[in-house]
Amino acid sequence: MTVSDEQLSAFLDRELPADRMRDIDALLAVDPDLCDRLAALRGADAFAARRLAALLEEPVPLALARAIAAKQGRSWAGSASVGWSAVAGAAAGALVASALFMIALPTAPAVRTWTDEIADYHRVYAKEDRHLVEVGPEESDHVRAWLGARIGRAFAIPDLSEHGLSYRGARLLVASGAPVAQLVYTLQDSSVFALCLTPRPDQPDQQPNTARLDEFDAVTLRQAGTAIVLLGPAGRLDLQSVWQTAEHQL
Amino acid sequence: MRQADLQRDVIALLPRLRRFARSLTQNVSDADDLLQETCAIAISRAHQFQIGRRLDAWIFTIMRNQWVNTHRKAIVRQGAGTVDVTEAPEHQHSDDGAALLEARYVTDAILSLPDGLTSVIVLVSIEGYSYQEAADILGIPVGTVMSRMSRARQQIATALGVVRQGAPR
Repeated sequence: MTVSDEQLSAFLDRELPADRMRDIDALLAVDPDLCDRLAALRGADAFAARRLAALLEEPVPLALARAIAAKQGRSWAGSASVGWSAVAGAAAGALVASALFMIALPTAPAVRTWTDEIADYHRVYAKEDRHLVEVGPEESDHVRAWLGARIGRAFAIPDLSEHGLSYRGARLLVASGAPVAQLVYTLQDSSVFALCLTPRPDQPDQQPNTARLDEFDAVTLRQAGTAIVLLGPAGRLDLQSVWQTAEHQL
Repeated sequence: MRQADLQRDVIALLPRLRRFARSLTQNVSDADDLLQETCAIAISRAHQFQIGRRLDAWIFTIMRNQWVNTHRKAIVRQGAGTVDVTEAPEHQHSDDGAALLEARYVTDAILSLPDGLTSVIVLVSIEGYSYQEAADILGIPVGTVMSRMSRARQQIATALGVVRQGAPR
């Protein structure tokens, strides 16, 4: 059985029928050439993700943002007919002005954090099915011993089922040069969430913060020498609430 | 949805909207013009937005339509006559993408992809839309999304020098 480039690409996006997904999964286990082709496509995805994520860090020009907020600026083709009069209310204006200020501030050269790297990993691994994790849920004791030794702290695997999340297993990642224990959970629709822990012995505690990382929502914090991020598709779960459940069990 | 509420949400989306505009126009100046027009149209149509839908998808669709319509008008103004939407460059295929990529630095490869490949990559790989959702936004068949995703990945991988030669098609 041959796998075309289109099929392999659609496999990466989990857009093939279930039986075809299974066929390719089975082939990947025995066909190193197919694995190489898939790795090339994953490499392309990772590169695209990095390059396109960088676009988000480019400040929106102040003049453009002002024009969008207050009906100024030229029409691209002279064809727009826009009712702007209702958008300049004082309350909304204040909100918009503050937002524009943040958008338009010149930005320093982007410094990628370990959280950015986790998001990169998530973009790639969350599309996996058979290879979503390195060690499955049936080996929880091994995961705790193995990853606990790598990150230098003991931890439990939180039960997040009250949020609809099923534990699928774990991976060892490396971000910012340090080991990361990644516990992987999925919703019933296969949306993937990850709870990641990495050692930060010299850094102070930091309260949980909610962040948006492109297409992901995340809660980030530092606690007792460990930096933690809980990450998943945007708008799906109240991650602060999920974190509160996880925190009491970790 | 109230215009003021939608405007506030649009402001928050500006970086992502601008990225999608760049993927359509492949040109910073045109992208910013397209972004400005799209936001204006979206805010003026705030009453048409249905709560519960994805605002970003709604605005991406407006932006894509605005781009196709405006681009078509520009071609007509240049004397090319009437251009069917399906014949607009957004819908054209080309086999010389790899050659184009080779002429540019790899770091520009993504934004230099020809013929609508970049916008498909942005929607599927970066924004996380399904093929069907991306097809709806771009006004193209699902099969075209699938083929463009494959071609985009192959061309990026080629630019990165990691693609294998002779893979079955």
